[in-house]
Amino acid sequence: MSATRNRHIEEYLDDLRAATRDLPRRRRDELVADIEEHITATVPFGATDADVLTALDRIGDPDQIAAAERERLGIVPTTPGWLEWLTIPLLLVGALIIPLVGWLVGVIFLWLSRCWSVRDKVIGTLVVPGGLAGALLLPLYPVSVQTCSSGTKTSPSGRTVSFQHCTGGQSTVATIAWITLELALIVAPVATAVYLTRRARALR
Amino acid sequence: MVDARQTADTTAALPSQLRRGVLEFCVLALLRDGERYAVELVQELGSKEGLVTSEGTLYPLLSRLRKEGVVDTTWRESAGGPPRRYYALTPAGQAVLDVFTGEWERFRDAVDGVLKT
Repeated sequence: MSATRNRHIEEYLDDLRAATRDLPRRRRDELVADIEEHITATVPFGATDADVLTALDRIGDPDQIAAAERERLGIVPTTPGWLEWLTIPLLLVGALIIPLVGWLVGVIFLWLSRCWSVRDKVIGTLVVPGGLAGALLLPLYPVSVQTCSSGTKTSPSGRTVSFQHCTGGQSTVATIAWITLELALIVAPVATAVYLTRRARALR
Repeated sequence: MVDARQTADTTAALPSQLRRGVLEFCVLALLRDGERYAVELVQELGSKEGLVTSEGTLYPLLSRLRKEGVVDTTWRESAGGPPRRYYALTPAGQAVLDVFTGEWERFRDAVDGVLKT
């Protein structure tokens, strides 16, 4: 059924899913299923693009359908405001301005906002705690853990020899792992900030 | 200052304001003679001039009526297709419809009476 379905229908259903993203999961699934059934029942198999578009016009704008459902559930339309535009920078660099507290305020704002789903909020909180400050917790350059001891000792033959004995040190694998981790700690919070911005904006 | 734009806004909002209050009772009225397939119900409402702007917005309404217990739904097998959801009026829905019908007639007569004077 879906393999041969008209691409306008697929686009329409994608738009509807996007427009209803902030609704409770079950209601959203049910609404999309209702509309999908309506389309399946009203658009004959192999209909022309023009027929499909006419049918979709009758069903109406996905945003309007989403608004009707929000109204029914008493959900206030989620328009990002100052709270949301403060949340994202606080999560990202808040801990750099006021250690820990800056980021914590960002997390509180994030969970107060009605703009993001629980999934978005979990991502915002866990990726990465402290935001970019996490990257600073790793030393800027790997501190060598190499320890050396040197001194002199007397050989059995009675001659005095100096020696130097070293253990540890930076292996290549450890350096690569460190660089990777450091990069991840920079990229991940930035990616989260971009993600949250896009999610907030899409609901406007 | 009541400017032309404000008048235009009021006029534009009028059909939707009128619709808002009565649409759910129109759904109940269409179910008076027995259960109906959801898609047919929505299409019939959508075909009434000025009653519905977007057929899709009726599904949230149907869902609300189900929650309120004025309609009930049943899934039925269909020939050669996926199961279909049918809507029927509950006794509570019938009672609500009866009350609305009486109120509507009084309201309509009152408005007509005022408009024609």
